[in-house]
Amino acid sequence: MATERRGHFGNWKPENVKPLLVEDVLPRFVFLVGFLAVWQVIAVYFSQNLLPTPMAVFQESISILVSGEFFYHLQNTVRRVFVAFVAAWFVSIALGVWMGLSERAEKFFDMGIIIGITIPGLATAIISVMLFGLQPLTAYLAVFVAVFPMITLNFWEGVKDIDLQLVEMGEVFDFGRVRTIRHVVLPQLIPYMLSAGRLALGLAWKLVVIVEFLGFGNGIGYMLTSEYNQFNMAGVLAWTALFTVIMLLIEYGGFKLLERRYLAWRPNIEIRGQA
Amino acid sequence: MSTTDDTVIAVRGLKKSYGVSANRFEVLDGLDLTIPQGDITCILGRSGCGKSTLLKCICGLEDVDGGEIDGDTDDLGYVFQEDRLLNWKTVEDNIRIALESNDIPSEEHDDRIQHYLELVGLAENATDYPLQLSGGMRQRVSIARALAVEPSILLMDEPFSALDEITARELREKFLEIITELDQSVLFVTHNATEAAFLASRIVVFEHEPPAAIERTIDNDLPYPRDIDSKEVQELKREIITHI
Repeated sequence: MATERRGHFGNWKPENVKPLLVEDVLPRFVFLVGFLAVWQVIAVYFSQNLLPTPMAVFQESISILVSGEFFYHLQNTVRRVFVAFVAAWFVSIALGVWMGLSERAEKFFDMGIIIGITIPGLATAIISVMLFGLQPLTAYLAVFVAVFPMITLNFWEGVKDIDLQLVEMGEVFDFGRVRTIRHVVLPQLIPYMLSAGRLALGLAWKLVVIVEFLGFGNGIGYMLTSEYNQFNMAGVLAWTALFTVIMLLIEYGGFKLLERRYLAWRPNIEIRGQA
Repeated sequence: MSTTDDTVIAVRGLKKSYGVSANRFEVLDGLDLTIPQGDITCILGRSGCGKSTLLKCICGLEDVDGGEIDGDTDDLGYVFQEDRLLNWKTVEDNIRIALESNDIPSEEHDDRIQHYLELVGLAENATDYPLQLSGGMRQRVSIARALAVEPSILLMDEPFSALDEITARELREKFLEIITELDQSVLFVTHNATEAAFLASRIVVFEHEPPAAIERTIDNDLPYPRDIDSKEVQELKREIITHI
């Protein structure tokens, strides 16, 4: 059974290198080159020197990296993102599953979730800073409150989509509660866990930057403020670009690999030409 | 227990209804049915006549309102109309989880998986995932899963009706071959008269309006193996249809 994978990422066999380059790397490379080219053209011909060229931003990024500043601020931002993200993710699974399973819980919480989604992130950040001042808890809380309604919604939908016919099958074959949750229910929620993870991480970092902007003494958001105060556009873009690279690494190194590991059975990732 | 040695399941005075008070809807109202060991009993009837409800009551998916079901109802295999495989588990692990749940000692698992996959002709596909297989192959896995627990009775709820005709035909032949070889007791629900005439050793025709009542029981003594296109099977089918 020669199983040919459509995505070759993470499948480093010699015979896969060519398809890997053509199918996986090439389209993304073309996008990146196109993006930089458009940026270059706008910077040189249309921005009256307000927008620095990609090269200028690249040089600025290198000097930020060399100075060692980047990792200091990154570490602070990542800690804030991570703590709030993990807390929000676990609380949302519990709440989302509860809401999906119990009609009473659904009716009790759904308005709270909608309100939570509606409140602007900036408002949570400001309220949090005003209430708690500039301490670590403030950042965690602001991000948590902003992120967790969104991903609770995600899990809630996920639980509603669970295939009850499979649960029934488990009942007929005497799976019992533990085996049913572990092997029948949770695997159906994994796609939702991954998408909730992505969504939450993206939201969390945007929120952390806003909180840092409001007055923390370190972090990516603080550095963005500081570059902004000096009206250093190349600096603002360099900090943004560096953080974006980190997020891309998390996406391709983390979520894509998790997806490959846990969703290998899905036909869009597996196999072609199978009898 | 009042079941005798050669009875697998005995249903007596089974009652089941849905809804409350004015909207109460009797599906089963005092049904009696006995399944002898080694028999292939087909319940035949139109959609909505209560035949699937009977299966659900026997396997415990539905609570009954009255009457009794005697026999080893913990020890069943079930094949649904859909394959109901766990798509995130390989073919062999789909069978393994059923074996684990039925407390089959783990040293027997590999042999059983191998044996029953061979029976349904899928020994080669043990490590495939369900979505890599065709619909007919998936239903064969589902049959292997139900047989692998070596149930006292195999319950089947229109297992071939979602497949295309050619596949269904092949699968029925294969299935009959396996079942007669294993001397497996089967309770098979269908609305397909040809299928009943071909497979069953006994055909129980339900009246077409619920509550389910037995319109007629037809013994089918045609010797196995049978040919679905033979004159005898076709004649029996015509006879059955007059009772539905």
